[in-house]
Amino acid sequence: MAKAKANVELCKGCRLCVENCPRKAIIPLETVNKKGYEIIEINEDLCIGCGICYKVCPDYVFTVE
Amino acid sequence: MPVYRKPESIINTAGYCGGCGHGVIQRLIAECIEELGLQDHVIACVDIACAFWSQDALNFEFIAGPHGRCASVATGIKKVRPDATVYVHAGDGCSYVIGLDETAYAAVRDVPITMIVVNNGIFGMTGGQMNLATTLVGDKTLSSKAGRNAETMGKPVDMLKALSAFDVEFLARGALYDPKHIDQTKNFIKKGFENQRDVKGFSLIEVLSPCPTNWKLSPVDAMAKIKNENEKVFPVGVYVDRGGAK
Amino acid sequence: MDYVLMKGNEAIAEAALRAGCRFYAGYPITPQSEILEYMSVNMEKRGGIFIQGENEIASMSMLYGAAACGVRCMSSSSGPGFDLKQEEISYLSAAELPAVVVNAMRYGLGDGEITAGQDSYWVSTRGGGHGDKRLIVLAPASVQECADLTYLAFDLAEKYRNVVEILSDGAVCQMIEKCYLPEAKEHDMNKFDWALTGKPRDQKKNKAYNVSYYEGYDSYNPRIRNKLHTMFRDEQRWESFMVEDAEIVLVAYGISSRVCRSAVRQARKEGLKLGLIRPITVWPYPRKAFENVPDSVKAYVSVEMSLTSQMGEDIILASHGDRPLYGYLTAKELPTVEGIIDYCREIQAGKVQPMEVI
Repeated sequence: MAKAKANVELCKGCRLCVENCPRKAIIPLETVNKKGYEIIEINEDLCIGCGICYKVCPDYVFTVE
Repeated sequence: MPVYRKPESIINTAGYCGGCGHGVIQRLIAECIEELGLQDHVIACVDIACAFWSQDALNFEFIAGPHGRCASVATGIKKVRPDATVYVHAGDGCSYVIGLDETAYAAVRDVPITMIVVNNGIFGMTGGQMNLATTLVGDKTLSSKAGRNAETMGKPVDMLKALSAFDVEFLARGALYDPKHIDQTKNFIKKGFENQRDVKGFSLIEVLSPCPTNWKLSPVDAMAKIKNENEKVFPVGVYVDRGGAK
Repeated sequence: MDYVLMKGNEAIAEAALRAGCRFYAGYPITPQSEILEYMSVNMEKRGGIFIQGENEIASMSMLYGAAACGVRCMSSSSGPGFDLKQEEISYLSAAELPAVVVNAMRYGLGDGEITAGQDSYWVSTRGGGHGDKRLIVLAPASVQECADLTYLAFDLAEKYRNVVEILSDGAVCQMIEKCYLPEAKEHDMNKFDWALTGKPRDQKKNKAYNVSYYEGYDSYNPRIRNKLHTMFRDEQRWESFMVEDAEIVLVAYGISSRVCRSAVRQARKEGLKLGLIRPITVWPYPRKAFENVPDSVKAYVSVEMSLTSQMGEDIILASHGDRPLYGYLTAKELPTVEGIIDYCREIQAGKVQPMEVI
């Protein structure tokens, strides 16, 4: 099954993916990336590969395949 | 299962603030162009406000500025390179305020370009001043600190309603506040590019988009504001679809 | 070769088409509307695009887009209309795009008058827009020169990737004279490596915007400085008429220079040795014309249709202030031969003072 993968170095911490994920599979972290933004991680067990995170992300963090 | 991967035309990171809708819009533009197979002959016009950063992100030829004149610049380009896909990615300040004249007459001429207008209700690049066309009554900006006063500052205007009086091919408004509306917005933008490909006439797609930085809201709350407030004044949907029947 | 009888405005428009101009956008304003009208009739026949813009700014923005695509393009205006073009002249300059803009001077501030004048010298040579830029400014004094200089303007614009201005005036634009038109040529809009063509994904993309943004100021500044100095050095154009043995040299361009030429001839019949330096480029100002002026010359007279002298500064710079400079400034009225000669006699009699250039 397709799963979302995240390139968190692109993340700007907007949390739109967290808000929109229908399975609550995206977890907001307090860890920051090199740009200083608080990133996310994906719980692969919960991810259904629906592509919503890809659609709402303004920074091209997600690939679903 | 469908695969979701950023379009190959995106060659750089999005240079916008966190949660800004411009990044989504520029991705939708690239997706539509690639899905229609138009990516090998594109000339894009961006305004010298926030949309400017798109020229660093997308692998197209670009022209930028002067502020507000995108519709005219695109007209000049489309007239001399009619085979190229010519689109405008600009804000509501450019397209509806300082450049309303230019936008209106590109519509009057029915130039077959695709114009994508970002309605975020504020002057973003300059740090958050009122947009005469799109700031809602009561909204606080750096130049309407007590909230926009309708008596002294006038009310926002639905420019798609105004432009509906013109004989154009396609006018529609989308929004970015949830995946369903992002899909709908993408369909509108795609239609705009199809219309250009088929030389049907002028297409303008306005997109309700958040500016969390200058709205001083979290990106999530900014999306909620669009849904609960901005969309009430600026309803989404198709305003004109001439269907090529000029 | 046969000549034709044409208005100055028509000669400009026809010469532009013969130079390969295939895009015109403009907004009507007297006294240059015949350029726009001529283009509206003839541009499409040559396979080009004519657009009557909704205003000057939009017209010039269209020009900016067309120029970026490599097309030879032109706009035209006068006085207040030319003021409005400054924004895009700055953008064209920033992006180093070739374009030709005609400014048919009228007289006066604000709306001013629709009659001839020469008080747009400053806006043309010093620039109304912001930023360090220069336009090559060609000032025709006849219908023939309207054609020749417009034809040349497109080549200069392309050579330097710079905006070139035709600084005409209401009199030269409206006069009808015989004119030998230049040979028609075609321009290949795809020949440039900098133009927007809409390139496929595997090719390097061009960007039309401030060249400095992509090039970086470390490279851009010396390159542009050098370009401006090269234009200044190599593109000075002028005509010296009977300067060799003159006592007083008139300095005039455009319509005033025509009267001055007659004044030189008439004065010499009356025993007064006048000469004329006629700038054909007012930027770059023909400083070389002032280099070997003979000792017989005791004074310069700037003859201009302006209120205060707009060209005076340039004469002082060119001559290093080596001789007294007088001003015969007729503002809204055309200078007359008699007036110029009388003024020069008064100079010789010590009855008028040199002008203070302000």
